[in-house]
Amino acid sequence: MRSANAYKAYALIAPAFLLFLIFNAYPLIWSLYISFTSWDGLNPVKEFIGFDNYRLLFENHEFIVSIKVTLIYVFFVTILSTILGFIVALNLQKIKFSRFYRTLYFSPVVTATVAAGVVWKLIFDPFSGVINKSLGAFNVMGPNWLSDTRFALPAVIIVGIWKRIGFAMVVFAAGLASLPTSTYEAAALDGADGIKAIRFITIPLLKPIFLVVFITGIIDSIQVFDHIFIMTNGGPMGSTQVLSMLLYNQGFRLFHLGTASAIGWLILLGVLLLGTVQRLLAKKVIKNA
Amino acid sequence: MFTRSRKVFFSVAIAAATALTTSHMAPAQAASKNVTLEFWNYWDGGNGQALAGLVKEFNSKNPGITVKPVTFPWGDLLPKLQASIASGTTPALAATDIAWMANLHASGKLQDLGAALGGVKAASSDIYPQLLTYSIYKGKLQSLPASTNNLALFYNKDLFRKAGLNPNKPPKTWDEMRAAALAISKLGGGTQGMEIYTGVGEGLTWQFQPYLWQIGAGFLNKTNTAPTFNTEKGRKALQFLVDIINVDRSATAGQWGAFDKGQAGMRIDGSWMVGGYRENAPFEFGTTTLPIPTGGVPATNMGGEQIMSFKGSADKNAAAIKFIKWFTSANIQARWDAKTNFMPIRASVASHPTMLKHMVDEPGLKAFVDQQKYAQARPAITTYPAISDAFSKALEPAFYGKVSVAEALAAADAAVRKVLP
Repeated sequence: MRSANAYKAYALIAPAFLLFLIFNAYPLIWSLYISFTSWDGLNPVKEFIGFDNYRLLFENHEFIVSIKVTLIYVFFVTILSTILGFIVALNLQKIKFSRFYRTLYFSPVVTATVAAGVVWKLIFDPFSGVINKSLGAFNVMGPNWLSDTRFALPAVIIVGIWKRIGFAMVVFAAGLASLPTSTYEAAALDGADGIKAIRFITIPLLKPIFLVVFITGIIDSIQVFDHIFIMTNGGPMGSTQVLSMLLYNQGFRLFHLGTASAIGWLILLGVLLLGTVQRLLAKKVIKNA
Repeated sequence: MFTRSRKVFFSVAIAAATALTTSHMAPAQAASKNVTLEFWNYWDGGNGQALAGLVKEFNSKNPGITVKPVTFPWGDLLPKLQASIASGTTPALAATDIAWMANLHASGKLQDLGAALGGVKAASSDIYPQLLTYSIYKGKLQSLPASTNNLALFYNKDLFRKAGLNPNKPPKTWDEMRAAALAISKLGGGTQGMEIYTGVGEGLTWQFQPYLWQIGAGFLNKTNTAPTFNTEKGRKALQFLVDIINVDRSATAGQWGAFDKGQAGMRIDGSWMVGGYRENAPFEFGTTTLPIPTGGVPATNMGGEQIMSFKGSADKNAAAIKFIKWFTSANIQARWDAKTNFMPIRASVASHPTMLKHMVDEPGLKAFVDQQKYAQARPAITTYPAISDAFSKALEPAFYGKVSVAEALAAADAAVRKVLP
């Protein structure tokens, strides 16, 4: 009986599993193999070179810089978009036209990143962009945002945050709606309302939600590519060259498919490692919540 | 369990085998009827329309052959070709950036055009020899130029007038260009004297190479085995641009796009920009041949596309050759260039009546056509993309004043030697 059921289950998942094998598992394994070769993507010969691609990456200054840039990007985008998303969700809870504002804040999430990148590039334009023109009105000479090593990364981080606030807001809004009103009423009787209620009731109760927004934030932002490709193409001087940009450049501009595959696998290992740490943290947080 | 899966396996295998044999038989039966050739390229917009028009004409004149252009964005075409080569699903025809040719040749999947067209000489007769640098691999002609272009100086006549410069006397030397840039930058309001491309990648390298050639430093040696730019002359060329940015402040590192809006006086760019500026530029523009240093020689960089055919069935191969021969012929090329503003690939196109008329209609092209004979080919070797990337990365900090010109070129020399074969 049990085995018959099992067969049925296998049969039912077979189509999805087959697609997974073809479109996920096969390329994954294939890229692992490629990462041990010096293949250029076209040559019929794929020379096996062992761990050379990985070893050379860690000797490569560009790769180390790229890891730093990626971590800075992930850190600021995840933390700030989570905090801002939370604040927006809180403030939209009980105001008029909250649906309208929610739609407004959510619209960047569903905007094509490439299109948004083009628009932001115009906004950051040193001469005709909105930002520097506004600064100019106060006699402040705005920086050359996208071509200055000090400002390019903050600029693409701002766009990353802008793109993500809406998502965080929606998740927090759902979380807030599920909180029991009785707790707040009881707390109000004890004199805890306003900021105190948020600090001692809302935030502790929303811990699991924070965790979800955080985890998805990290996974999302570690793979960032589109708007950076449009806005800075990784420059100037590698200051915005996140790992996925480096991967693209190595694989498709320099014909180093082996190196690109190795970078891909290192990103995967990094995400797995972060994921494991988060799972352990999550268990602890949810137990305490 | 095992037997069942085996049965499934066999039935699937039989089905697949039947499908394969029938699909193999199909073209053989229909050989005389119709062959469809996919033609992959990245010509979009007006260029894509021009191609579609010509292809339509070819198809109607050649019953039995249907050429089907498939356009990808520039950045997608190479990955698509890589995937198609790996999976054995290559298109019959493709036209790609000359920068990718060395790697495509080495894939071993390209048809030998020389053999099919009666020898390398006959197939390439009056094609400019520099263009053939990208066509011949190990003595075999495996592709032909489909279009070419080069770099010249675009300048904003309105800004020239405002700065008190003669809009009909554009700079001819490096010193004149530097002086004009300085004068225009003095107009204020964020106006740039000129734009210099400083972003990492082939963009920087290919814009800088003409300066190296003009001053006599060169890029790599004749055998493409060692860099030649790390010399007194090379340093002088780089210093020239760095000074425009960091001493005169008439250009800004990392800035690219101000010229389009009429906020920069000059920019070096390719012939493909002429049509766009004629339609959209909010100012009157002019073009002129690249300024050269005192005692230097004229030189510009050569870009463009090559057309090739991937090996397939015999009838597809023959049809693809027929199309390539037709597309690269003088009559078709002259009309193609007139519609796209690409440069002639062969002498008989340059002197073709259609082309001569086009040059009168679009005076902005004269500088480019005049210069085509000075256009130099970049090293056509598989490691070139990596060389160019390493070179540009070493030079970029110099434009920002982070390292000296000597340090940048020494670093470029070391980095290029590391990736040279």
